[in-house]
Amino acid sequence: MKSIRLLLVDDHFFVRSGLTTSLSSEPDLIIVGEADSVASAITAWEQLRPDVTLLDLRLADGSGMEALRAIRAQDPNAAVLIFSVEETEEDIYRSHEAGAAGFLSKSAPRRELLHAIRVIASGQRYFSPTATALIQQRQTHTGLSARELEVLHLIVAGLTNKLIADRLGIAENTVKVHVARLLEKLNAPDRTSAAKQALQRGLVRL
Amino acid sequence: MIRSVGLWLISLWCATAGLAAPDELTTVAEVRQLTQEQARTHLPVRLRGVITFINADAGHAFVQDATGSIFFSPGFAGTPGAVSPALGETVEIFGQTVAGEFSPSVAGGTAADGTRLPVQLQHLPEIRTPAPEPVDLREIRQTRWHDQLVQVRGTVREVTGEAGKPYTFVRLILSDRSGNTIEAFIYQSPRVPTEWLQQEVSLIAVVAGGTNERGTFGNVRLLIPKFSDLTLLPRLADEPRSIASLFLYQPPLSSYADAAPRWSLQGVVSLVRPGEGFFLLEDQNGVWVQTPQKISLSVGTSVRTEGYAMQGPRGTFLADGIVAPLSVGPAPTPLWHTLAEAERPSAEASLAELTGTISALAMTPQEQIVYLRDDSGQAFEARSRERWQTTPLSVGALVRVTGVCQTSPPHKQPSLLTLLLRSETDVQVLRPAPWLTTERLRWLLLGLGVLVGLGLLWLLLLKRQVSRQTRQLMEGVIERTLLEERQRLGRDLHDSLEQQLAGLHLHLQALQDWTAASPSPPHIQQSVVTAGRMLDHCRAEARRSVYDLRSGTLEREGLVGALRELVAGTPSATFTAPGSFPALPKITEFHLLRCAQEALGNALKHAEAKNILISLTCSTNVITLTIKDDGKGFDPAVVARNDGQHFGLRHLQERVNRLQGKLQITTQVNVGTSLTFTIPTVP
Repeated sequence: MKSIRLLLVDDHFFVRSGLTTSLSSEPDLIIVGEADSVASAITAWEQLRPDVTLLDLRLADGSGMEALRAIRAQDPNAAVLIFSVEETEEDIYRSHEAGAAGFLSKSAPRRELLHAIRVIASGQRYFSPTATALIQQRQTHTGLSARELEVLHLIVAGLTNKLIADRLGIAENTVKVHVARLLEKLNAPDRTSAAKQALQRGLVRL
Repeated sequence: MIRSVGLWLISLWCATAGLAAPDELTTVAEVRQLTQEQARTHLPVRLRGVITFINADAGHAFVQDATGSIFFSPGFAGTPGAVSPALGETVEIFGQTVAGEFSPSVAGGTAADGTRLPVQLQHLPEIRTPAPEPVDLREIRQTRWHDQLVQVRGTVREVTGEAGKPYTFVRLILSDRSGNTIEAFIYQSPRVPTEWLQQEVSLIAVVAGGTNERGTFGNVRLLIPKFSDLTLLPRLADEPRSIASLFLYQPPLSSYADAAPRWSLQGVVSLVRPGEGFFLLEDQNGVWVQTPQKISLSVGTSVRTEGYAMQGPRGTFLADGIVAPLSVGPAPTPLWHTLAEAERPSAEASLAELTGTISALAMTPQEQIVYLRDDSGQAFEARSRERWQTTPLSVGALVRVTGVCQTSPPHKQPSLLTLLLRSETDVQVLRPAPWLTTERLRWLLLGLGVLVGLGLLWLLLLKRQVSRQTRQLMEGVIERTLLEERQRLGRDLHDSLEQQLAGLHLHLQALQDWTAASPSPPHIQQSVVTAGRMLDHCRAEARRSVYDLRSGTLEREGLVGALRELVAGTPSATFTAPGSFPALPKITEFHLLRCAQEALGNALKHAEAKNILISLTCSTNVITLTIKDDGKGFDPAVVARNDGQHFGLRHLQERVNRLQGKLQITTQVNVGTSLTFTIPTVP
């Protein structure tokens, strides 16, 4: 049986250490490399061409999503398992959209982690039932426009309409229109609940 | 019968013998004592007296006896029954009493048309009657003099006459020292005696008059019986005396004109009041000369005058002056230049020139009044009967005024010097009023005060606004800082602690798998499992902390809001919080939220509950949080074993202990669990 070659990408030593301990004892898994940033992840992948890459979404020099896109651009069949503490609807959905082979929470039991790696190594995708449900839920949501996302971000930061207008260089009335539309899209009664939803769903990351 | 015949005989005898019948009025005094009403009853009258006045053309005549003089109707000349006694003739008059013009008089009766009939008259030998009563003209209007023959003295101020045949009717105007004038008539004058003008005369006259509109004696005039009844009195022959000597004069006790001394003065006119008199200046003294004499005088005219020394409210003055202008000269020079000089009693009626600042201006129908203050602040005033046309006076102007000094009457206190001005040129404006008058200054100060007030008010409002805005800014800054700090803290926990715990979790999971796979002592396996659970607990706590820090619901909306939000994310949970809740200490809210989160987590995860009810109630000083589920429940004995398996409940107990509250756990296997947290709200 051919061993599964793994590349671990995480900017936390504790996590890489834990993964190494947890995975290296498995006879069919070989950790071929580790990386702690977007740039080093892409370089390592190019050099090592691992079977499965475990990729954290949050890295020191950027988002794991960038690394995912770069790797997928080089090899459309590259198998990347997103292994993250973020479990928001938006994270999972975007990972799925960007071509991640799977999504797994760092809280997941070790058994599930091993299972997911092996499933992905076999060329299939692995999304837990919870993750699959979240993806479907996200697909039913109307997408927010880039400007609406900007406005939502500033709402979460606690800015008033006037300050948002100043920050974006647009009229306050225009801001009001954006706010009304995004409240409607998020099905939120007010700004506070919109802000909470934005955080819960991962539309805005602090 | 015999008696009545006797009476008739007696009365006949009396009539023929000239003796009065008992009911006849036989003296003037008896008639005059009657009232007009009594006089109208036609009482019989028989008077013996001398004719003191007769004007047959006018039907006027007076008769005088020892008791007085009275009017009787002689009849108009040429009419039937008219009598025409001669002046001075002694007669007996028969007639009846009639109402006179003011007091009763005598007539022959009253005809049907109301005209009076002439009396009957009988000539008698001459009898003596009293000489005319000397009367001061000032008292001539007293009622007792009506119809009486009097001797008066006065100054002839007007003489007019109509030449007629055979005699001339002359009308005189006489003045006296009381300032009054009276008409006098001579019915039988040979000529118009213009040489009597401005001469003092003594005359004999009957005082005629009637009832005026007020019902008192009025329209008083003198009827001079004949030309020779008027005697010219000589002018004062000696040299004029000084005004100073006049001031030394003490008035006599008798009020009659004959007893009053006449004075002759000479000086320069300093002020003219046409029709009233003028001020005369001589040496350092001045005096008021009262005269009705129509003479053209001007300031500066030298005059000689004589009149009566009189005491007026402002001292001695010359009354009923007879004035003779001597020459026209320049206006006299003012003698006094300070208020102190001008206020001296000796300066009264003399001329002063004073400088002062106008403190007020007033206007009466008669006078224009200027109120002044001299340089020491003493008040005085100047009055003019002229209306100034060209000299604009205003309060605050410094002026020089020239005029006759007049102190206020002694009864007026405090005394105030008045300068009587002659003409507009008596006021010279030395310095116009400064623009900044007291009035303007007052308004300016008021305006300034208002401005300062408004300014202060504005400053106060500004200060308030600034402090309010500052407070708002500070609150905003604090809020933003707190928000940023919470978010930074949350991000930090999330980025480092959570990740590191995740790494630890990976290690422990691997260890757990290995100890389970290989034969190893049970206590090692147990320890690894407990460590894993503790780690899970820590991670859950960390997640909650991160979430709470990011959402800030507890800080913003309090415990109720946070619990509502907690339940909103859990479909199987419901939350009730009836009533209102007092403000709780932050630490209490925090721990209660954590307890609810923990309990809810347990109910979902361990008890697999379908329905969870979270309720919050508040009573006096105690808040109670209850989480009740319909899950599997547990055996309290197992939990109590303290084997490290059920530290979640222990953790809850620890939080409750920290709040000095109580935790009550009710649980039954396969029925459900109820956790009740009772926390005091006041320490």
